Amino acid sequence: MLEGERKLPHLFRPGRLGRYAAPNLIKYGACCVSNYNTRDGYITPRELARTRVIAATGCGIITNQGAYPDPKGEGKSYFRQVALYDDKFLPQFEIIARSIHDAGAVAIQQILHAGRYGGIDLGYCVQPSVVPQTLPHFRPPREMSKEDIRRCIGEHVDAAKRAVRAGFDGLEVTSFMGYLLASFNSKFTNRRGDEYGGSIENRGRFMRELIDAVKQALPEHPLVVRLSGAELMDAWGGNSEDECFELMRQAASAGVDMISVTVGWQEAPESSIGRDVPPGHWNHLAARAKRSCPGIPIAFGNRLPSPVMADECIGRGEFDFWEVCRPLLADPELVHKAREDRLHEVRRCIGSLNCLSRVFRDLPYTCTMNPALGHEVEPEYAVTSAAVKKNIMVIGAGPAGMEFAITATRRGHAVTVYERSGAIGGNLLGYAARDLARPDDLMSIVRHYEVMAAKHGVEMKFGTEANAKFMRSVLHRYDVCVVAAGARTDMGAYAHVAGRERLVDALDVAQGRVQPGRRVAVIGGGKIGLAIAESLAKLGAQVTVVEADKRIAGDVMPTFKWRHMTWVEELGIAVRTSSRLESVSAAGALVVDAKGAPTEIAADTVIAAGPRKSNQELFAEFEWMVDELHGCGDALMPRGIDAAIHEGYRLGCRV
Amino acid sequence: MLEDAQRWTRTLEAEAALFEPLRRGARIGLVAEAIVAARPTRASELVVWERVETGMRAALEPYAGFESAAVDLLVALDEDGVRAFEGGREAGFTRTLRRLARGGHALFFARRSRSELEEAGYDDLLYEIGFAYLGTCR
Repeated sequence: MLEGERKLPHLFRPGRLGRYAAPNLIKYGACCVSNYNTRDGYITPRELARTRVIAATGCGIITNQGAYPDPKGEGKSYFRQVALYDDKFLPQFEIIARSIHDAGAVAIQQILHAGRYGGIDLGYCVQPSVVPQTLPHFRPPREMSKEDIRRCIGEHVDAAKRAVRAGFDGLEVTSFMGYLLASFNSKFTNRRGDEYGGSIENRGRFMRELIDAVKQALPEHPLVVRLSGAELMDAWGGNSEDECFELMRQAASAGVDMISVTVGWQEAPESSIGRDVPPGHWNHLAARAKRSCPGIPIAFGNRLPSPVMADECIGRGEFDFWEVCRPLLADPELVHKAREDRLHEVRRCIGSLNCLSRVFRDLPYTCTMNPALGHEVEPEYAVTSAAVKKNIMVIGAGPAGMEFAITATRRGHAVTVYERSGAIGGNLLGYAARDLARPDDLMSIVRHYEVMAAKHGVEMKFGTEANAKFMRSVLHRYDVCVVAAGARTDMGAYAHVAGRERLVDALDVAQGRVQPGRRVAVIGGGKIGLAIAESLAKLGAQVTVVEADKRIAGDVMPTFKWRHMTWVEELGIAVRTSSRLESVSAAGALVVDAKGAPTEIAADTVIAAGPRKSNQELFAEFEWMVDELHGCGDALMPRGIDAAIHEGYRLGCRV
Repeated sequence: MLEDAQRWTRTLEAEAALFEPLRRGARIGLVAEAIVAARPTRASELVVWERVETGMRAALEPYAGFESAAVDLLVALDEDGVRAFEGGREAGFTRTLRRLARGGHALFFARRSRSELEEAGYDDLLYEIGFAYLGTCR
């Protein structure tokens, strides 16, 4: 027994799903559609390469991402979602099932009819009743007739049979986040007057008939149903928590082999999986499902990213299988690291929701923390042994520099990182400390780099200012220099501002070099300005944000904009948009709006958090001093952590 | 307040700039959630704000359900939401609506697609009344 298995005895216990034995109690959840496939539903080599990585994660049960079951595409929710309505799709599914079995896991195929969120290529979606969308990027609804319902159940059965013919052991039907099954179950969207609507017994009829039809067709193959423990739509006429559990009992009675408990609808007014939700927040729903449906295995994983927590929950009998997806996007080695007692090496999912932000922009999903995700089919993204081993110097120990350094070291290069400060992290250190959601998530990036740099033997030289003189002192010692010196506030952008010498740099505030007063004006309503403003307001300062654009949070990840806007309102931060800074004085800031109207903002500190400027000067200084000179991250163009990590990795793979 | 169309017209005039980009004929409905959740009766009504040549006009119209509501956007208010607009507290209603949306007390049912709404000039209005708080998978 490996040390990690001894420490996490519940998680690594063998399990069972129907007649299939699983080597452990970890289920890879089909939490997210990749958008890697063709517009007409065929699985691509990109997807197959990705699923080979998923198969190798070490999970006992692996759920392949949801396929839509109908030829019209009413169930299709994502532009490049896979289809399973015809035998022509089978060859690629066979490859996926085989790779899951080769890895020793139970193979489950999810069938995803998106219902309310479907019909992406059509001008409509189908639901039990016509309840208009609250998120207008989805299609206008049409009510399903009883004939539609019968046909839809038949299509699910046919898709399930196909999946089994392709080699999958079992099926999963998802009622996640408001998809078709959920919209029948919920009072919010089911307002039918026939036997499929009204009472909870009637609303659950579609689900029971679906379960029954699949089980009758494939009695030997386990069927999993994903059901909401809480819709978070009850304020809007949706199901109460009690009703959600009654529906679980109905599913259990109808013969499902496992219930996967989920939380929230896509249109719910509160967060369910963002990093502002503390890990373990929803565990009580799994525990209730376990009590409500004795004898039915319960899988759960919403906002439960830690294997240690999952092990404890299973040990306490709160659920049976840890269902995990996003943490395995960030680090596909997570389960293996847990088994080998290397959890300190895990690259944590920071809950940026970059994956989902991209999917809902109809783009393939990627991961902030895992630059190779989605590029597994491309050799250019693989960490391979370097043909020529080089001595490499890196300027800057922020995410871009560290990502590069670790990747290049793994390839056999000798890498030394020169950092001006005394720590790994760069500007991220200051901003992470001011994050209102979960600073620990962002700090986990820094800790990961500290651990991996030590593990792989990256040489760290702290307290070193990189400049031409320094470069001359190391002349001919290095083959490659990578400038990853980040970016700074562009104070030159305020050259026209009277009294600009009174401006305080946002970076100095973030890193604690300047303590602002109690009345603060923050110039710039992007992510940096907002992080500073929110943290100061939380400490009791009276804060005004001034933004030249007509809206704040312009550079914030789409799925997190609302969170900043909520904090701004909750913390009472005043916002002046379409406004620019005119002058700074001892009394505060004078700003002018789009119509030229001036406003005095009383402030004892005015913080410049506006445009940033890359620290590019070293490129010119080092140009004739080293064989190869490269740059990555904000040193090329100020953006953020995603670009920093991805560019650092790509350069590390290439150099 | 929801039933007082004249007062709504005055309120809308006070925030006229926000509605200026709306295409003529753009219509927004405001209704109590209790009416949306129940089966509509003959007495069910909604307030409709309509962009007309001269600005915004509010009027009461019968509400017979989602399918027949001739509006681009239907704003449903729960009890707290309705209370927020009672007693002449409609001043600064966009801010109030935003607060209600953020707190889950107002829900927006879109009868048009996002691009249709944007083409009809709703972009700034949607932002101001709190669409940014409504999201997917968060």
